[in-house]
Amino acid sequence: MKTILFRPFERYSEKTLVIVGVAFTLIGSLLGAAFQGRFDGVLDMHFVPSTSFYQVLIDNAINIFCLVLFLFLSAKYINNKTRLIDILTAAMVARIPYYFMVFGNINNTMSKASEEIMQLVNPEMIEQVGTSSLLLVIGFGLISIVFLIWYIALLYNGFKVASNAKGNTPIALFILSILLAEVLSKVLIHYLN
Amino acid sequence: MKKLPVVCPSCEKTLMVSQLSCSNCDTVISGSYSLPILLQLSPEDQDFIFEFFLLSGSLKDIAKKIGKSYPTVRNRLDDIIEKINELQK
Repeated sequence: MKTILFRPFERYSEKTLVIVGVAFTLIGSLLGAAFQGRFDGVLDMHFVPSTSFYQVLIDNAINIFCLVLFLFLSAKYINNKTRLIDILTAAMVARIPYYFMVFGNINNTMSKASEEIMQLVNPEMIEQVGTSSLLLVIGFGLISIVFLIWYIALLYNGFKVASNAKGNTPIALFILSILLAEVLSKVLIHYLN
Repeated sequence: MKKLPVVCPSCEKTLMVSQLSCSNCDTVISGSYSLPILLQLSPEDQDFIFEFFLLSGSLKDIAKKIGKSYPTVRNRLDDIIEKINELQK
């Protein structure tokens, strides 16, 4: 079970991982459209008033492209034998936990709670903010951190298997790649989508 | 099957062969012979190389046989190659 959740790249063939990765990218995009969640950056997920399947799918495609671009360059630097397909499957499969976060907006729960919290910026309205909304947002924030850690752990394990990474240099390159991918994805999504 | 010790349990240096004997006529040969490099690897690494050889050197086939992914198997082979290069120095 631990292998499936954190280290699927050690066991499953690239064919299986591609099928799972593509299937969940499509499912994640459908879920995003259904619950108004956009993945507007490699490390981002925001609820918006409305979105479409294609818009969320393009978000996801850009995120996967940015992750693959920088992680593949880093992995090639570490080990010249690294295959593109192994980095691609790592990027696609690692994002699966993130797609489930949109369930937090069933019945617009999180959108409504966030809107209420935003009233905090207006000191006169503070008293109107319900405790339940505060707890909802804090709870969702904590759950998001768990899913973010899961996502990064999966991504690092995929990167490690793909490049046979050992030591501290690959960790530094991995972190740098994620940060660069985040910046590029934000820029591309802003201008293209 | 008894496991062949290749490392000294006292100082962890690679062991040498100092005696060989014939189980048929009891002839005993004494001397000082180095262990072949392949025998200096761990039994798990030796098994891996043996499987790899029997499958005509196909990483895809060995990955299927041992239920691991292709890059995992390739990494294992690369690690063994690295160990052998170290032993050859």
